[in-house]
Amino acid sequence: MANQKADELGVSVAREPSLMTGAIPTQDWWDIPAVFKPGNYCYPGKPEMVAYHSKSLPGKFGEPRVWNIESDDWKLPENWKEIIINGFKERLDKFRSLKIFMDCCVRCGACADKCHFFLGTGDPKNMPVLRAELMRSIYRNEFTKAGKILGKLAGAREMTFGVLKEWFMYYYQCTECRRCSVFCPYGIDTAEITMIARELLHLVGVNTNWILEPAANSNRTGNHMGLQPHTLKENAEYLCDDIESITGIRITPSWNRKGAEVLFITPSADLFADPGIYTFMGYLLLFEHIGLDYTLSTYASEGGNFGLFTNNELMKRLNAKMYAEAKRLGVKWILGGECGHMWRVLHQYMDTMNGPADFLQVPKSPITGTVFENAASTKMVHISEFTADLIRHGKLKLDPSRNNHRRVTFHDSCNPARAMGLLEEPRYVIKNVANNFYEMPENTIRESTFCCGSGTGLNTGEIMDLRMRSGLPRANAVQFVKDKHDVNTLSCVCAIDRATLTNLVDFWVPGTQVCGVSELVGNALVMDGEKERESGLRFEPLEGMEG
Amino acid sequence: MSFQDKLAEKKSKIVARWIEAVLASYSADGASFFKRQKDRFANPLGFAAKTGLTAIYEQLVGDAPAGEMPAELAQFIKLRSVQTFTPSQAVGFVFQLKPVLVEQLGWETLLAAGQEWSELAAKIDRLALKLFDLYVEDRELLHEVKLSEYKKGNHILAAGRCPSSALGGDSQAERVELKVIRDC
Repeated sequence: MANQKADELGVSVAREPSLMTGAIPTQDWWDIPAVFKPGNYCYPGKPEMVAYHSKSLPGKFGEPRVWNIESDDWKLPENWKEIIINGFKERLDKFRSLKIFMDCCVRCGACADKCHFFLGTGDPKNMPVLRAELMRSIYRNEFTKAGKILGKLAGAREMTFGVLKEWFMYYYQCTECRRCSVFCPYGIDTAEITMIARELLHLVGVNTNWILEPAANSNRTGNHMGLQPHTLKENAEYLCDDIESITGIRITPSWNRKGAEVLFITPSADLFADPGIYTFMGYLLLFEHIGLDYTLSTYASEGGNFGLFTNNELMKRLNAKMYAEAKRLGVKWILGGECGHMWRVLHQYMDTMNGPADFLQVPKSPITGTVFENAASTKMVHISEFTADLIRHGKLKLDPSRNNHRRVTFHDSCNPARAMGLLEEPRYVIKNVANNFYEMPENTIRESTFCCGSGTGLNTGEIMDLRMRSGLPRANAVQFVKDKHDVNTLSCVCAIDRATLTNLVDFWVPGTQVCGVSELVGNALVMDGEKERESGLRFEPLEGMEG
Repeated sequence: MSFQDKLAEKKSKIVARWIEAVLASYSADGASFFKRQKDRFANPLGFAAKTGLTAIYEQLVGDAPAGEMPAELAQFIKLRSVQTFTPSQAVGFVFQLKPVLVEQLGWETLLAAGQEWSELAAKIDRLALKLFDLYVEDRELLHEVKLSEYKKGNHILAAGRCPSSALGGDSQAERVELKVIRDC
């Protein structure tokens, strides 16, 4: 048995805060202040961006100003508390779901350890239950009798500047991935709590530029980068040049063509960002292969809906642009590319906000005759559903050995997986276009998939440390299949994933490439009149062509 | 019983206390979860800490020359390099092994071990330096990743205002700025 001194030493080692290890002292969660330091926050919105959004949605984005997140003066309006509380009340009246989510949590803790931010930080305020508690405590104080009478005893607290800082810190450490919601016995959609919190923050001008600027560009120009029509068209032409070099086939996609059967909308990143561009090349090859009567649009040139990260009215507006363009062009239905949150908006909010899209027809594949009843109201079909149907009906000539240089795993992108149930189709496609496919462990895929850690507008460089720690659970599973099966390719169906997983694996699992599923399709498609393929769509040599 | 035998005999208790001490650098809720959840995919941090520290303990107390760095320990350091620790906090947990050894074996045993204890203490010091090297490599890699994202230029595109915004009656200064962007 150890002597008394050693016992004391043992206690000091294991149970108390330590200068050496930086242990966090044990305090009530609301006594621990949020401290902003370079690297743990996104830069605030530029005044001109706030002014731009305020023009079309007055009062929703606060006062344009220059402000410093690290300072204790955020230059808030004098009545900022009133604005927040009134905004809260308005939303409780408008969204019954919010009221239920505020009331019905029994703090069972089922969600507590499901968040990738918690798993990468150990910070209790990153437990979804506690993150929601940041708002619930204010809700109780302002809108419940128990909270008004019993205060802290009933888990209520006043809205203060410290709380506002906490909201800004932790509702921007949530990617609205909804993994926690899968485990909630009450079905509380924690992402919607984050969405409302961000809306309230916007009311008093507390925001991030990485979200406001892309949202402004999408609203004004049609895509989040602000790429104009000629730039989009030229970029596509460059990619067609590459397709011709690789396959010998010249493709000429049509733009803004009235009377086309299908309008194809994809994230704009697929037109200019590596590795999304290879996914785009895959789409074009597929459409050429089956002779689809489609058009792209320079106005509805963004699948991603940055409104989802700001305010429901902006979300509605950006979603409506896609439908307005479909109406203008007179297409029959819309085909959607490999995007993440476009599908959450589409599948869960579009019909209420802008639907039903009665001026379009229920999507019917012109090649197989399949009617996509699941899209009967939104009239929009996912490219993986469309491709899987083509394969199922034997309409594609495929040579999966052209992906033999790739040992593939599949990351279920959060929104398609959890917000629309797209689980089997991408897998079915991959298994038909590639010979080497390996699943990551069961509790890291499908409905339980781990987020890339950078969604909802968190994919900005100033918080790279945060992105890497929140992406750990995803990367950890990739590392496992790399060690076990020598996996070298992480496929996915989301543009933010394609951009951010690339950074994540460069840090955690070097030597892994990220690709869209349609890139693999493009590699495998045997085109009429093509030349012998020596390389894949990113000019990488195919198996046996390395010399 | 030799010093080596005692270190081997008490291995599970020593490592458990060491892990506990290391996890105490996180919040109480975090530490308790990292300790409790055994699934390596549901709890990558806890798994890396436990497996990594166990493997390195075996290397430290064994006769064999220092082997390869256990992958899990390397992953743990990588994670700490992107958490909110200072560099000394990120790798300093290695030194927690010393008070744990004192606690578990007692000073008398350590003093009696003499040279052997002194060698083990030196090994622990060397391990801390090795982990610091790893930490620095990880930070460099992080900056490379940042740089690579920066080089892709997405921020330039995002910051380059669409000229059509000038149609909205923006200021003269902005129009000049836009002209510069266009001319580029």
